[in-house]
Amino acid sequence: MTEKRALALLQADRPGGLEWFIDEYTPYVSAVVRGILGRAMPEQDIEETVSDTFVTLWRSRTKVRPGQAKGYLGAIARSRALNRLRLAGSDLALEEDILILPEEDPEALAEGRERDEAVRRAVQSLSEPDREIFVRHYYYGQSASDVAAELGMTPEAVRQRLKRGRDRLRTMLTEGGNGYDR
Amino acid sequence: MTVNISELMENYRDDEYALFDPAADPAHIRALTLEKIALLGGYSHRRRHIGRALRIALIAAALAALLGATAYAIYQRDLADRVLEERENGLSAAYSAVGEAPSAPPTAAPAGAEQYALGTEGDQSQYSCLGKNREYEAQKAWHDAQAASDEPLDARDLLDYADPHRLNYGVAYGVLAEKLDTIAARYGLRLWQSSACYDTEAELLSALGLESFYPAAPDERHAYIAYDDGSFQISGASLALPDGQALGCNIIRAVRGTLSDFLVLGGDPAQAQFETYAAAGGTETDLALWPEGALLFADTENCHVTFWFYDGTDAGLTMDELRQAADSIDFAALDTVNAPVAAENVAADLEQDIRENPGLYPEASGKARQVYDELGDYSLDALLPEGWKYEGSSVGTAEDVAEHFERLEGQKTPGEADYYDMLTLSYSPEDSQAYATYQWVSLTYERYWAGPDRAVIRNGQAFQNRRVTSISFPVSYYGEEDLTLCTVGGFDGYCIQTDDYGGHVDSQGVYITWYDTTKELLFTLAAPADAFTTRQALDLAETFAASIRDTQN
Repeated sequence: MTEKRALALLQADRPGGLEWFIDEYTPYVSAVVRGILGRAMPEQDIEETVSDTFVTLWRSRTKVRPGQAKGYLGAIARSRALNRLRLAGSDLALEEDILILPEEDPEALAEGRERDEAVRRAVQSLSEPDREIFVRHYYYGQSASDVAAELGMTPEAVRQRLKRGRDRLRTMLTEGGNGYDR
Repeated sequence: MTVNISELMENYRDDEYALFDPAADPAHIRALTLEKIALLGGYSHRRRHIGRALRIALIAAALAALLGATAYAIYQRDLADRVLEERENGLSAAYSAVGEAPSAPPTAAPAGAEQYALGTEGDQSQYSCLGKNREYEAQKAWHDAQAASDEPLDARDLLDYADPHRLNYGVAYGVLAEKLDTIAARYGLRLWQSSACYDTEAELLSALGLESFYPAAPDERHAYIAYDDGSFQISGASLALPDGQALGCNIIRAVRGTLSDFLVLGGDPAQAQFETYAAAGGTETDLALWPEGALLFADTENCHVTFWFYDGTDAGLTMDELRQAADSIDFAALDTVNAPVAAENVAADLEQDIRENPGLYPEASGKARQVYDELGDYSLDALLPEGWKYEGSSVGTAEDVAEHFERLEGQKTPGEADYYDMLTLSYSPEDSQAYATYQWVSLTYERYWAGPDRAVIRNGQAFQNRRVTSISFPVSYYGEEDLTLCTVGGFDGYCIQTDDYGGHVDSQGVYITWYDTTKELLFTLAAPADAFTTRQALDLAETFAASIRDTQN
């Protein structure tokens, strides 16, 4: 079955569509959730969150576009995992999560789509493997050591590349008309 | 000033990197998800057959998620009474399980739109797409009948996978199909017999003999399904207003004379605006506008037409723009009805799908239906002989593997289950990606898929008393030199070839292990040699062996 056919069945609420997405994307969604909850929550909470992600997909089935299901599911999974973490009184404990920008009028900080676009361009401007390391760490919440293990690198090398990514992001957000500079 | 990078990436979307959790169990997640959806009011045909034990387990999981493991343990003793009480009190546990606060489900349609009200789905209102006449009455009767049905459902009453009730209405059981037939007859309506999906809007329109009937905005329109009476649904369409604004929507055409089951969802009726509007061509439309969406209904001579817009007043949509949308639709063109879907084409399409995705159609098996459950899987417990156990484990070190093997070895293994192989592992103990799966499964001489807690079998006579052990690694564990692209049994995948683990044929059986090239999911096929009584099985082995030989050459 193709994703398009599965989407047609999902959106018509016919059997087989949602099941296809679950079978296809559970390992991915589970990896996203585990990256955020894995160290803080029991296995049962991880499964619940993965399942909740697919329930949300079903509830918002009309808004999924072809070819975007994976990114959409990843975003839902990330959001649900972070919510569950916050409900438990925890936060995503990432290394060097704070980015210090030049002191500016807070009103100058771009918001909404403009800000999201600046972040997207900053991430896309990174070369590989820096981009993957940055996305795995700051988007998927994987620890530096987990990223290192998955990519066959040392944690120190990962941290060094994360620093490069942060520097690039800071530059993109503060220079070149990305909505942050006034 | 400071910002959190992880928060900055809140709306980032990644579809580039292949994250993969080898411990994930799609079958388990599928069961959990479908039960939650059933409790939320979806997949209505499944709602009635949640077994008591399963229901308890599900809601227990929801409570556990709410309370945390420690608090959950305190409640375990009187869990059954508590969760059943929760169930009887409504759907609060289910709502909580999906992370949403319970809220009173809406029960009314907005003033003026009562004639479309059908029911609720979670916290959203359901609206019929069938206008104000007998088709709507029949659909309402069908939904009410499902909700009121208290008849026990028996797996032996499962309909064939190709039954039109099942294919087109999601009705899996004969007893419900009879209700559907009765209601259709009572209202003098026919039922859909077949349906087909189309890849492009052009294909859909061509099959229906339709001209373009609305100003389509440039978009990746997708998801087209049509029925044998000419009814159809386009999901993900985009209608362009005169000012260029694009309104994402679903478009539904329900042909008169059929009991169709199209419905749409609306928000809180108390916040809705509603009006009747005569569109530019003279067609009378009913318009409803919510903060989160909007609806446009029209009854034409031959059809009921619905446009379901994804955004509402929260996104700036106004009633005037909704009127403009109504003016732009060619209702006369939509009223041209041709029956596009030939049943034989649909049957061929279905057969192809079954061949390509046997896991989705386990009921195509000749396996006795009493061991088949409504979620589409065979329970391994049902397949195993009495006295046998099944265990799946995820482990990370060689020590873990050895420990599990020792424990499993101690289990009683009756019958002729004498094949057992302790594989020598080549992975390093610190490799947390490796995991082992131990399976005692019933095998079939044709295709099967066995996962940590289920087996899906089709077109084969299951036989038991065989034990299969596989130790699995994600594709990323292997080096390229260990992976060979091959096709086995119609599946493209990576054959794994290492000295101590991989596909081989010996006097005791055929053992094939490969990974899907795109999904990175393990496929293991293994069976005792005396099981291969069909030509296909031998061909499978030969195919595999040939691919190995080709690689070596």
